Amino acid sequence: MTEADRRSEPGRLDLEVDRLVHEPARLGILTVLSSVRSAEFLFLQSALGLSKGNLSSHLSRLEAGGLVEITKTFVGKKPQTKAAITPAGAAAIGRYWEQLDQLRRLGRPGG
Amino acid sequence: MTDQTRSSTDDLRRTAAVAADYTSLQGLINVTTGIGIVLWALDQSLWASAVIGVGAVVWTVYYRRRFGRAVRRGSGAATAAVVVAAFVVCIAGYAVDRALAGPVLVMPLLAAACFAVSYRLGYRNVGVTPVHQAVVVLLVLSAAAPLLGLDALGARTGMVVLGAAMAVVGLTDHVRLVAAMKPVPRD
Repeated sequence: MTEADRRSEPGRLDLEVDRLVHEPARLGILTVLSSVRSAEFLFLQSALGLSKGNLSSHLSRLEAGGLVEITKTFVGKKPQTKAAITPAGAAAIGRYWEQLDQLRRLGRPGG
Repeated sequence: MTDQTRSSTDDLRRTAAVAADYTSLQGLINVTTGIGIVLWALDQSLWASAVIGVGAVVWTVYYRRRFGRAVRRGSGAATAAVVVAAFVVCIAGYAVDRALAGPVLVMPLLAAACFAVSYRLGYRNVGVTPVHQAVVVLLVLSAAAPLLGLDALGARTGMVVLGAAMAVVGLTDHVRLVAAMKPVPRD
């Protein structure tokens, strides 16, 4: 039985959090990228309040995990970095929010 | 789930909503467009063109430099088509008002409908504020300007109200955007 099969068993709660997604800064990056087609580096910094180094580091980890795609170009002499969520990244963040909603339902009285 | 966790995830979802509607929230472009429309209604066509044209360029560059760029999902061509359609509808309404000089202005009513449609399309994720709703109500009420003797500019009265409405909505959106974005810490 695969991991996906185990997770999709009826009645089974899927609460195994993906640590690559769960880290707050990376969760923020994936959540923002899931709502746009692509975003520049500066936009992610502005939306999430992350420093250049911090954002760079988290983007690299997400790229290594196949959850985002980074494109680097030059506009004149100025480097420009653009990020977009991959299908795997969209699935991962979708699963994460579903897990959070499951937890929320558990926390309700009678849930 | 703790209250703190719930509020931080809610904050994240709000940030994502702002990102999704980022283009619509670049309100300063609408502010100068609205001012331009008012100038045009006051017979200052040259100034109107300059304000609208320069404003669009300046504020586009401003938002790009201040907050960066995000490409929204969905078709840019569809969005452009809606903007053009709204422009055509409002111009048609103005032409009707000029031709008929009736007891009620048609253009503000059509403009109110265009605003309502643009709200559904442009603020799908962030929603609208009471200011946005009030602007639509005021546009509808302004259609009665001839009946109340408030149409000193004739058919152009509707254009003044439209321009003012765009400027108010634009300013509201700009404030929303700035409030949602965060200061960028240095490394």
